[in-house]
Amino acid sequence: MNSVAAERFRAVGAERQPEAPAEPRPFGLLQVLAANRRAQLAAATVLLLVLAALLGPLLWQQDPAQQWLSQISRGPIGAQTVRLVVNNERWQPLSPVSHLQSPEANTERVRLQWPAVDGASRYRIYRSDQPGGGGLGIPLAERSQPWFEDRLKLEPRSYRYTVVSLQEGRPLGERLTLELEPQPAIGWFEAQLQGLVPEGADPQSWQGRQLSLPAHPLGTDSLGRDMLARLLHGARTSLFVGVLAPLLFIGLGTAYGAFAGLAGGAIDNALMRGADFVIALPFLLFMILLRVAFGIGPGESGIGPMIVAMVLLGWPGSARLVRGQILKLRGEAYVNAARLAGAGPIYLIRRHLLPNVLPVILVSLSFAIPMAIFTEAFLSFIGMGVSPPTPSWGSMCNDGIKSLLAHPHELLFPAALISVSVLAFNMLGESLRDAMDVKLRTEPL
Amino acid sequence: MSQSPESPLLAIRDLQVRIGPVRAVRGVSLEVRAGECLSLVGESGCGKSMTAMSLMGLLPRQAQLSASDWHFDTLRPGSFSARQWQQFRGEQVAMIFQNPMTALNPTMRIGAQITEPLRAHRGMSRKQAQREVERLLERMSITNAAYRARQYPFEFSGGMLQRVMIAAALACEPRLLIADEPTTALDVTVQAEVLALLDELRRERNMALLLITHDLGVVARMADRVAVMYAGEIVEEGSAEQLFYHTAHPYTEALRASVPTLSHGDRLPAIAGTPPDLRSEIGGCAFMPRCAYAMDICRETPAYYPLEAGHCSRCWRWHPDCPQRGLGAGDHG
Amino acid sequence: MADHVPLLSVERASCHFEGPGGRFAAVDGVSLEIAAGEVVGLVGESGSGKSTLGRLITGLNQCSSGSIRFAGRALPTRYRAADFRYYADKIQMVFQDAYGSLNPRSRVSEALAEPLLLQGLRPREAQLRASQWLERVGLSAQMGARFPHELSGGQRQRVGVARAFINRPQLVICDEPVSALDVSVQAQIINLLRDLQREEGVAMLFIAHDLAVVRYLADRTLVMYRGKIMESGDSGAVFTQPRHPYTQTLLAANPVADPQLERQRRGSVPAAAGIIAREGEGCCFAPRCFQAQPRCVSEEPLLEAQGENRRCACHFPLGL
Repeated sequence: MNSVAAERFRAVGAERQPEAPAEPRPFGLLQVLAANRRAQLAAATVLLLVLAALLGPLLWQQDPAQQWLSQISRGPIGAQTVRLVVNNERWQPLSPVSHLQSPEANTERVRLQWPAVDGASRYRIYRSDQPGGGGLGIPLAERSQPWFEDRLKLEPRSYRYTVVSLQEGRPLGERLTLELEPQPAIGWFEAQLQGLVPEGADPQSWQGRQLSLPAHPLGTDSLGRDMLARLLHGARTSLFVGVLAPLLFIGLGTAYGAFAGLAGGAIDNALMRGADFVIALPFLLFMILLRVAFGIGPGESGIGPMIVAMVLLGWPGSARLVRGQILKLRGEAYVNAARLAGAGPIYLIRRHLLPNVLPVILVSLSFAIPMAIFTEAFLSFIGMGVSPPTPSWGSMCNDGIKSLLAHPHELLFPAALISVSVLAFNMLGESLRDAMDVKLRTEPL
Repeated sequence: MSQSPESPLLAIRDLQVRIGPVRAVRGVSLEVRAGECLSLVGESGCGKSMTAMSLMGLLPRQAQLSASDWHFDTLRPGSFSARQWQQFRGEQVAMIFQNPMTALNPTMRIGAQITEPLRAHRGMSRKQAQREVERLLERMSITNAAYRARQYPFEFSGGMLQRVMIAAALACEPRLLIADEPTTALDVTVQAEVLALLDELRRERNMALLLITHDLGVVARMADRVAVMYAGEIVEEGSAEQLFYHTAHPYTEALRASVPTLSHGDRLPAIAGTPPDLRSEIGGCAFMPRCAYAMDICRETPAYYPLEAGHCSRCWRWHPDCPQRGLGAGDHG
Repeated sequence: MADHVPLLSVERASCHFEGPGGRFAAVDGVSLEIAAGEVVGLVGESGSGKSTLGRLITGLNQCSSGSIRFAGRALPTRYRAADFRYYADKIQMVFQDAYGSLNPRSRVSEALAEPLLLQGLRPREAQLRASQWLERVGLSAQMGARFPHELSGGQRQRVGVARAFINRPQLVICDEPVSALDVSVQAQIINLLRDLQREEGVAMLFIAHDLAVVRYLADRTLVMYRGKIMESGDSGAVFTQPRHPYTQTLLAANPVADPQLERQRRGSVPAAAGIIAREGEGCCFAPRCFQAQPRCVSEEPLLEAQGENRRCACHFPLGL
């Protein structure tokens, strides 16, 4: 054994170092939230929704109840100028024509004129929505004169008109076809309704004038009402009911459950039987009673009674949840340790119980918000909530589902907003809960 | 008696288990002979349960395992398919756990839980299996077996449940029983009964027993051979007598010293510090930072070498090259 | 002990719980005394009522009958917050579950400062005392900024110990403080408790199921079974010359880290005599007792003095 080897076997005792404790990485709640992209996104979305509900109707000043009869169930359209068409006179062409032609084609009326066919007793007019397609389309009318005025639900798109002359002994005679696209127009009656022409104006002098119509960036619904305006106004109803009611009933439930859990024994028992009683109450019956009590007749909007009913009947769920949690926490050793150290009930609640119950409350809140939005929609649907024309996302969904196949946007836009807001609130709640969980802030040992 | 000439029932060399960044088991080699009780001793987090789970093919999905020379009699568990593992467990190897309450399904009758492996592995009819269950429960000293078999787990005490677990584990007459802290949750008197039962069954069936525990008292009572684990590797292995009376590794020594005994001493020699973080690479001896005999050489990884027949240690202190040999607290030879 | 008032005296205390099989007594007429600065061990199996007895003394559970006096003053039967505050610097407790005894949302320093703040200390002083105590229990002061989940089991229990001792109580109840810990850590905590007990001179009731741990710490040991005290006496005497068959059974069952000794003992655990007893009559240990006789079933043995400082509840005590 050489000296080098002996050196290797020297005792090191003195040099041994106690393991250096890793520096803790303290993080505040807000710092954690700020570091979380999802939390940021969710918070921004929620903020945007609230801003939309508060400021939206001020910025987008269309009346959500105004019906544009000329623009029913239209997709998104920009601002446009249209011809004013006064259409209260009967039309009769002055001179015959040599071929099928249209002296006037707009969305208020399409006029067709064709040369008379010898031996034809009557003419049948067909309109097809598919200009390139085969068939004749739907029959519009049968007449004996060689002209026709079409006023049947015209839209600014291509049509193919076919005029078939009917002769004795021949089922389908000579055919004339014409393809055309009606110009956007507005009728005199509607122009008056929308206030686009002054009262008492002379129709004839306004005939053919260009009028500018507002844009409908999200289209219109089945009554021709502006979707954007309705969504912005609906946000007020939906978010008000959807956020306020859960906040109230979860707050009430938390207080009730916490009191029951802390009091324990007979008081707890009695309080929880009370909660069971409330669960047994039928919601709809209660809703009707409340509307009567509030003096709201059928067909009137009643957000107040709706919120009151949801709060009065919604709290037992969270009360049970919180009570169970409190009972569990009360048995925890650290709560006992704090009691032994002389902690009073208020200190215990503030320092030990509430911070550990809060995650549960947040989770139930993020579930209660969508539930409240849908409850509002359901109540509106059965006429217990807001009544037309007051918009809410839920009632818009109910309206839109009827024309889902033909005009999906009427359902998609309010449904998307409900989904986005529900998702945003869920994510926000989840991020808050995670941010409060100290275990996720630092790596475990 | 532990050094039977025949080849071992189970042998595994250089078992490595990695779960994410944690190297839970770092090169464990084991041999268990038929009828022998090998005790795997160590503190929580030393990788002893992970080793057991590897031997059962029950590692979590994200764990990576590597081993060489893995034999079970003539079988090669290293290349088992999921189906073969299923067959292997129960027929060849069975396991009992620390907490029998969580290892049994609370909504199933006791009898049904034992019948299941009997019917699956041994192809018994319902009637046969029922009789077999009663026989097994009676063997576990559970009186009124036919009635008890129709009860649910909550109607049993902890000790009784552990007996049920043993009955279920032994239903298919495995050749190796792995017991992972089987008595840690039990009272001392019940522990004594369960240990006595395990010992009896082992002798009766010439079954190998791999007993995983942290309690050196249990080891002394049960084990023929002992392997001490620290930081994912075996630091010392030998017969119970060798381990307890000729302790070679400072960790074993410290562990033994820190157990309070009924003969009163003044101060318990506790081991200072904490085990190393298994996420980082350990250079040199893993126990060095806590070792009372640490030397400069300990910064180099110590070899695992035999001290005498069947007694191996992973420590420089008794290494043939060490100049201070024989100057320490204990002596060999 | 008779001429001066003991620090703690429990007189015929009982505690009943409503269980699935009706009302049962977790603690059944237990009497004990603890002198100032004395360490008393309390041994028993699970369900023996030893933890409940500890909780009765701290006021976390209420006696259904009997009384507990602390320094001559009767403890309230039902604790209010003010009572807890009054006894906060007199009786404290170390819990078994070190992790559960720390609020997962509070930093270690907050957990330690809490008892001080509740005693009206200023936050700065409380923080100072908390970091002093962190070092006193073998942790660095930086550990105070950590959350409980960032500590190991042993470190958590050190914090639990520091919190119990920080208000300098006169009596500390240790409810299985080491049974959830690893062997080497267990030894550290036992040493810590022993050092603190000696330095502070507090009285301690050390509850455990591990006989050796109790033997190590306690001057005097009580053995409890089914809510009753079976035997009491100086620890050395109780563990070397048990009088009660139950103590004997416990000792025989307790594994010893010595293979040769274990080999000798193999099969020496005495079997029960197999006497049939009716519930609630006679000695509660009779059905498991290896020397039970008809008298054990008909007549309940009382805890009687057997020599100096020694009491035993058995008709046929061993070693006499």
